[in-house]
Order: sequence, then structure tokens, then C-alpha cells
Amino acid sequence: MAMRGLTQFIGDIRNCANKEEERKRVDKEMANIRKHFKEATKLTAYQKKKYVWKMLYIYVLGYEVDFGHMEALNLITAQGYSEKMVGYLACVLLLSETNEFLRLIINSVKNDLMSANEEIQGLALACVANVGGREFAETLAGDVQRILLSNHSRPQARKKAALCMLRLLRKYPDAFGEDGIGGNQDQRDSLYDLLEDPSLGVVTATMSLLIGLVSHNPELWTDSVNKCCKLLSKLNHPNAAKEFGQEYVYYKTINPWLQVKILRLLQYYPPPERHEVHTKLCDVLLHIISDAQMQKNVNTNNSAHSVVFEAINYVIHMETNKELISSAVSMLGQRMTASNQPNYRYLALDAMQRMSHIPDAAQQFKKHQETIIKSLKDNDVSLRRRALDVLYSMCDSKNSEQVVGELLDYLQGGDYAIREELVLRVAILAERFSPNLQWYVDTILKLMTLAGDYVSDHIWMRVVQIVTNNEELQLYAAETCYRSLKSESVHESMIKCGGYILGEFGHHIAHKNETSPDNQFMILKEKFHACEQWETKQILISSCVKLVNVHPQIKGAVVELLKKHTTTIDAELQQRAIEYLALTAPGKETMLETVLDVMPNFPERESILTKKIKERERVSTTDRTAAQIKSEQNKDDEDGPQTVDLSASAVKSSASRAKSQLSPSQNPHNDLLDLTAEEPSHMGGGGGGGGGGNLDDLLGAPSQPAATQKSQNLGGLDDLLGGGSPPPPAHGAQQGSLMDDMLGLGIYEDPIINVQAQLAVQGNVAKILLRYTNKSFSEISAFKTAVQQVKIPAMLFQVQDAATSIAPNATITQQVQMQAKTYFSEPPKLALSFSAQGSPRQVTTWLPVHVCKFQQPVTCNKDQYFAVWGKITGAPNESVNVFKSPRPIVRTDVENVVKTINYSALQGVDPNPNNVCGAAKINLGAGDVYCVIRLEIDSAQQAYKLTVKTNNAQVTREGGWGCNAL
Amino acid sequence: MIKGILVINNHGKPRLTKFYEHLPVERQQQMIRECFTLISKRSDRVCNFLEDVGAWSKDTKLVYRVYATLYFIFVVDGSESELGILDLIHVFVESLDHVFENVCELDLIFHTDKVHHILDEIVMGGMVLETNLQEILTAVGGVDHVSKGMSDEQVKEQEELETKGSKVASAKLKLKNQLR
Repeated sequence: MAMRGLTQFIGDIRNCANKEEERKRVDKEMANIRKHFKEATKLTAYQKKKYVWKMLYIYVLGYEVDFGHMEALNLITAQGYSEKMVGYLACVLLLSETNEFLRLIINSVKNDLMSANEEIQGLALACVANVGGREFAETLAGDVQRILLSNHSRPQARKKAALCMLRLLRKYPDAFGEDGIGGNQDQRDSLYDLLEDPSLGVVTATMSLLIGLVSHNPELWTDSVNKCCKLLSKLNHPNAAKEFGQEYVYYKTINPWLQVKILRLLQYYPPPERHEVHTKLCDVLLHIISDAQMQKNVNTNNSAHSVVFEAINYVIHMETNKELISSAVSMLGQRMTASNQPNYRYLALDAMQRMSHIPDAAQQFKKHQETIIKSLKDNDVSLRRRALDVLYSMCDSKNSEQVVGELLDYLQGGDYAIREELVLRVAILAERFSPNLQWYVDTILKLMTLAGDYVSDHIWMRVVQIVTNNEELQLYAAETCYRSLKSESVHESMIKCGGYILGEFGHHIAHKNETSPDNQFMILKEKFHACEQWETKQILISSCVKLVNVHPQIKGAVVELLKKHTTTIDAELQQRAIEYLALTAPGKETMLETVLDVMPNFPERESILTKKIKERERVSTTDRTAAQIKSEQNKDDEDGPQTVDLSASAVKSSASRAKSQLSPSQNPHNDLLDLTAEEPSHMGGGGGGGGGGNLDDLLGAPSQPAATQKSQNLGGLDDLLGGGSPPPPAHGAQQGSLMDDMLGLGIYEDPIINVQAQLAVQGNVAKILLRYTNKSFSEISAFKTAVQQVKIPAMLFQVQDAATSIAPNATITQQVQMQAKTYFSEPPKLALSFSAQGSPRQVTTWLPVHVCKFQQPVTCNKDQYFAVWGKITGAPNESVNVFKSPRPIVRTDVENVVKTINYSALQGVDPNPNNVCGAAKINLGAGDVYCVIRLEIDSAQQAYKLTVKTNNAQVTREGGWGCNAL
Repeated sequence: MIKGILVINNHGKPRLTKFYEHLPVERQQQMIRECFTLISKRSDRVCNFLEDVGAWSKDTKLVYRVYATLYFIFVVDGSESELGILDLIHVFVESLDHVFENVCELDLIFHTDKVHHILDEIVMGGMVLETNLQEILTAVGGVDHVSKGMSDEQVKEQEELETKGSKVASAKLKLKNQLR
């Protein structure tokens, strides 16, 4: 690649002081290349090559190179090797397998595959292997196969063809016809023949291909077992070096890669059945394992041990050969303690973990328990992970206390890299091998204290499940949780778990002074401030209510707490508070008992944790490994800690997925929710829907006690609109509306009772939710409500029965649904009668429903407006009112009022900008009625002239009330 | 399978990158950075394997060796023998060393073509192609016959470069002594 331009460019880049300069230089060069490529025909082959190399260099620096692909690919069609080489390299580096351009070079690649020149053939094969798109596979698979099996191919080409086929096979198994490769005996035989090729390079590559084929369809290749055994013993024969030639002896081991591959392949099949083959194989394995010695030279060690560790894998696969197992175990033991060889310690731990399901081996590993625990504290994270895996898989009921103790101990150190895995595993071991349940509870609580952040919800939920299902554990759990909650800093997971358990089982410890119901409640209440998640508070509030069920004496305090949360910002918490409050109301005792009864046992099911850990994440890589296939076969007869596929990865992924997979029934506080769902749950739902918002703006002004209302000669709507007080400024109105949405609209208030209403209008139906709150300290009894119509019967009512009494500070609700049949001028009345503080009282007020509530603002332009305006003249459809305003007129306020009564305030319709025009339609059963109003303002005189025109006389008459609003 | 091969110097500059699964440039760069940050932190007394690297899928391992200023990192999945890959890295470095006679970082920079060529003779499509040093050298050496037909222009440049060679040589860092 001797090119001055390129060398210069690389030199320039190297001299750049910072990234900024480098980018500038790269941009300049890219512009230069682009310019030259524009006239690509004029470029010499050398120049083209040079520019493509520059492109590649830029690409390797990490810049996106999105041009010149075509020019680069053209080099493939050139004759010279060096052009082709850079062309192919560019193709491999720059293009993905789905790139359209690849189609263009298929023919060149095909030609090169046929080339007599071995190097060029090699380039083409490498390209197919490296890029390997679907079209490549379909078009070229046959050619590649031919090169592999042809008698004339040279070893170089054969090797590459074998790997190329493997690559295509992995990506597109169907590319080689219906039978795949080896569909007939001849093909298989010729492939087997390649295993006896004099070039070990060809044998190695063929072995790779064979592994790929076997992993696809083991039945087809059963003959390979015997052949591999033979080959393996040949490679380990004392005279092997002579037979295969010195050059394949790599640091005293003969082609370790090939040996590893053979051992890998054998793991796809059960141990050979024929006795002499079996014996021979065992001899070889024993020889490999027991002869391995630690040497001075690192590379000698590596090459020998790569075979040794693979041999151990095969021993694990065989499972039954005692002699081999014990020699493998002793080998691993030695490597484990070789402290200056971290690589071998890593691999030894790895092998131990996979071996620990063999009982003989597991027993012997216990001798090394101390060493393994030491590795858990190694400063290499890779080793720590392995050690954790081994400890996890070698844990059983005999050593669980020690192992879990060690793990917890270790958790106190600050190793954040593997904390999450550690926590999950401690949780599982503690459950699976607990010598007694109390120890289990202690362990998990300790876990939460030590590493609360890593304790996911399903861990504490599991504790709840176990405690619920084991009655003898409940007292202990409640006690311990109480103690834990008492300590100063408590992790949120602990609060959730402890809170739930106290709520559920607190009654077991209620007889003691220290843990009296009052104290229990106090501690739960304190925790409200200590937690950050709403979820925790939700659990706590449920627990508090559960306490009330068993200990009615603390009801007052709990109700206090519930009330405090009826206005909380979290909807779920608010809903719970309100529902529980309703449950605690007098008369609901039976319901309270049913709802808050002790939870039934959880059905025995497999721990979510174990289930998660067993779920192996299938990573779609290359060939399925032998272990994978095996574990698939064994999937049904699982259980026990030994599962082969317990990779750290499975644990990790499960931790993150577990939460979302919890089914509702597994989630204890969801259960609780389900039960309470029968309670009305829509009460906390914010404002009363869409319709009535705007009027509420004005109505939001402090409402008057009934007495004053009467004295003010209400009659019309003005009282509802704020009792003649000045309309609040626009922005104030906005705020008011927000408040109203939350709280509803006060329609009556005196020292004893407060009545609020929320209104939602749909079509000609208005739904009103009334809330009566007892403000006094004594009960309101004999409570009765009645809705009355004034004057004409224009409405149909459905009134829900309200409770007959209201406890002090309690609120009851009542729903009223009202259907407007025709137009009405006065809103319906709400009459209340009740006895409070020993004397009967009567109260009458208005429901905030005026006919304008059913109106819909209409936007229209000048022409449309005046079309309606012009059509309607004279009484009874037109009404004109002239009246004085009690205060100075502000136009924006007037517009707001017009909007408030559900007219649109039309801009640019009236020629006089001072005037306000509005339009609306209303439909109360007799078709749409259009209403237009025009309000002429005389600011100097503080006077209005209001003209209302509609196509219904009655509406016109009622529409005139607008003057009252002003 | 080998998913990628990275050669990064001790300042985090990639000197050779090859991915056997096509990835967008940005992602490649992110992976290179992550590998470098993870590995450069590790002391030479810990093992040469690193698992659970965020950027790659779960069963991916980094197997790496350090030679002088360069990190040779092979990204592999579970189907490869770790020690086998360590050997392979060594074979790769030995091949480089033979071809360049005392290979140094500069050789990797200025002779990318050769380096790629050598690598292609060792690993193909993420699979181990050849492990025999002699075979590799023969295969790489064979190319010289083909590319001998250089243009005059090239020959001239070649000569010029060689006279500059002394400067380059002075910057050479002998790898061989540090081969572990």
C-alpha cells in the first residue's frame, strides 16, 4: 500500500492536536475524494485505489462514509490483485448484507470464485463469508460447495470454502437445497474424507463446518463420533508430531484448536456405545487431564490447557465416569489455588460451576469452599462473577447458612458490579435451603437492610407469600418487621414488606405493650414521611385500615390519617383513602370486615424467582451449544440448583423482567384492590367532566349561606354567578376553575353543613354529584334531600338515595341525574332537611343548572351571523333589554361572561368593535334552536343594550336573563 | 464465533477494527469505546477474560491480550474456547511480527492492507481459518507474486517511502520482547 498521498494523509491525521482538527482534516479529504470520484472515469486504477484506501482509513477512524461505495465496488471487477483486494475490503467493511449494491457484484464474485488464481479465489470466498447476504447465499452456495468437495481444490481454497459454507449455513440453512448439506450418503462421505486430509488446516476447518452441521441435525451425522474419537487419539499419540508434521505443533501441543473442536463436537452425542471406542476415548481424556502440568511459558500452558478444559467439559457431559471426574476435580482444585494465574482460576471456577450438579464432584468441591469464597473478594470482576456462580450452584441445605452468610457479608462491601445478581441469588438460596423459616425471614430482612436498592418488588412479595402460607411464621415475622421498622433508617423495600406484614399479621403481637395497636399504627404513620414512592404509601394506608378492622379502638386516628389523604395528589392513594374512609363509616362494619379480612393463602406455585432464573435467555448466536440442546431436552425434569443453564445472564435479565411479569394475583396488594373494587371508585375523579367548566368560573366565587341568598332576592341566576359580586378578572377565573375541578362547587355552606356540587353535561342530560360534609362535631341525623322544580315541569330527575346520617367530619355523596325535556327559566331547587345538634333544620338552595348549561357555543362568520340575525325580527322571537351596569364596564369581562353562559364571543362580526356578539345552539328534544345575541355597550352611561334573537319564543324569553348575569 | 476483532492502543485509538456482524458506524464506535474503557482499567494481574459487556449480547466475552502499547481484543461468543482464542491472538501477533520484522504500532497504521490480509488468513467470517504460522505466512507471502506488477509511479513512491523509513523505524516499539 505504498502510496504517498495516503501516507501523507495518515501523517496529517496523526499530527492533529485534537478531535476538532482531525475532523476538519477528514472533511477536507472527503471533499477531495468526492470531487475526484465525480470524474471517476478519468482516474487511473492507482488513484482509485488510493482514494478508496483513504475512505477506509477515514471509516476506521470512526467517521460515517456514505459515498464512493460504487467506486470501491468497481475495483472488484478490476484485474489486478491489489485493486480487487481493496475493493473486497471496502465491500466487507462498508456494506451491510442487505445493501442493494451487493447485487451488482454477484457476478464478479462468481467469476472470482472460479478463478484459477488461488489468491483471488480466496478473496472472493472471504467476501462471501464476511458479508454473506441472502442473495449471495442463494446464488453462490453451489459454487462454494463445489470448491470444498472438488478433487482439484488446493488446501487454501478448501479451508476457506468450508468456513464459507458454515457461515452461509448458519445464516441461511435453506440455501443448500432441501436436504441441506449431507442430505445423501455420498456428500457425507466426501465430507468425512476431508477429515483425513493431510493438511490439518483443512481438517480444522472441516471440523468447524461439521459442528455447524451437527448442531442443525445431529441424527444425520452420527458416524462422526467414531471418526472424531479416532482422530483425537491419533492427535494424542506419542508419534503424532511426526505424523502431522512439526508445524502444527503449537507450543508442544498438536493443533490445540482442532482438539478443542473435536471435543466440542463429541458433546453433541452421548458417549460412544462401542466398548473399545469408549475405553479408548476415556484413556485419551485421562491422559489429557492428568498430564497437564503448569509450565513456565505462558503460551505452552495456554495451548495445553485449552484442550484440558475442553476435555473436562466432555467429562461433565459424560457425567458417570468416576475416575475421570476425580482426576478432573483434583486438576481444577490445583488450578483454583494457583493465585498467579487468574486465567486458570477463572476457567477452573467456570468448570466447577458446570460440574457441581455431579454429586461426586460437588462433595469434593466443598473442600475448596474457602478458596472459592476468597475468590468472591478478588479484585477481578470476572473472577468474582464466576465465584458467585459456583457458590450459588454448590449451595445445599447443609452449607446454606454458611454460604448465604458469606454472601451477605460480601454484600456489605461495596461491589456494585455484581450486586443485583448477588441479591437475587441470596433471595433464592435463602428460600430454597432455609434450615428453618425464621432464618429465611431474617435473611431477607437483612438483605433489604444491606442492599435495599437492589431488592426488587418480587423479592419482598415472595416473603409475603411465604409468611401468609405459614401460620407458625406469622408471629415471628410481625415481631421482626416491627423491630426493623423501628430502626432509624429503613429502606423503602423494607417499609413495603414490613408495612404489609404488620397490616396483615400485626394482631399476633398486639397483646404486648411495646407492640400495641397504637404503637403499630404510630410506626406505620411515621413511615409515610420516610418513603418516596406513592406505591409504598398505598401499601401503608391499606395496612393502617387493616389494623382498624382488628382493633376498632384506633379507628379515630386512622380516620384522621385517611382524611388527610383524601386530597393527596396521587390518584391511587387518594382513591384508597376515600374508599377506606367510606368503609370506616358507621353502618359499613360488615363490609369492612369482609373486605379487610385476613388474606387467604396463596396457591402454592413455583417461586417467581426460581422460575425467572430458569428461564434462559435464548441468544441467537451461531450454533446451539451442546449444553443448550441438552438443557432443552431436560426442561421438564428440571429442579434443583444444578440446572446447567444457570448463567449469570439469565439471572440478570430476569431481575429486570420480573416486575412486569407479576400477574395480578401474585401481587398481594393488587388482591386487596380487587376486593375493594366494589366500592364506588369514581369519586376522586377530578372535575365533573367536560360541560360545566366555564360557568363554574364564576360560580367559583364564595357561595353564600342560604340566609343571605334569600335576602338578596335571588330568583334569577345572579346568585349562582357569585351573588352580584364583581366578576373576577380573567386569570382569576382560570384559577378558580382549576380549583372547582378538584373540589367541586360550593352551593351552600353554614356552620353545620357544606354542600358541594360537580356538574357534567352531555346532550340534554346533566349529572350532578353532590357532596354533603358535616362540619359540626355531632352527627347529622334524619338527613333527607329533595330536588324540586320551580314553575314548569321541564325536567326528569333520578336521585340516588343518600345516607340518612352524616358522622362528624364525614362526607356523604349523592348523585342526581337530570334530563331537560324542554326549556326552563329557573334552575331546580335542592331542599335539605335534617336534625343537627338536637334541632331540626331546613335548607333550600339551587342546583347550579341553568338552561344555558345545555347550550353549545357556535362559531360563525359575519355573514352567517347576520343571516340568522336578519331572519328573526320582532317579538316573540326577539327580545331587547336595556339596563344599567352597577359598575364600570370592562369589555374583556363582558366577553368572559358571555362565554361563561355558553355563547361564543364572536370577533369582527359587529361593525362597532365595542359591541359583543355571541352565538349558540341548544337542543332540548325539539330540534336545534339557534340563538344569537348582541350586546351593545355604552361605557359612558354604564349601560347595556342586549338583543336576543332565537327561533324559539321560549328560548328567547329565557335568554333575556343574560342581563342578570351582567 | 468471533464477533469482532479490535486492536486499540493505550490511548484508546483504534488501530484495526473488524466486525463480523455488520453494525452502524456509531454503534461500532460506541463498542470500541466501551471495550477500551473496560479493559484499560484492568490490571495485568487479572485474567484476560471479561464477561457481561453491556454493548454486546449476553453470552459475549472479551478475550484480550496486551502487547506493548496495543490491546488485542477478540469479541467472542460462548462457542469459542477462551484459551484457544488467547492462542489465536498470539498467532496473529506472531504473524504480524514475522511479516513486519519487529512489528510496531506504526506498521499497523501505515500498512492496514497487509494487516487486514494477514487477519483474513487467520479469521474468516468470524471463524478460525488457520492457526499454523507457516501456512499463514505462505498464504500472505503468496500475494507478493501477484502484486509485483506495480506501476512505475508506485515503485518510485515505494522507494521514497523506504528512505523515509529510518524515521519510522526510530519510532518502533519492539513488541517481541514483550510477548507474553
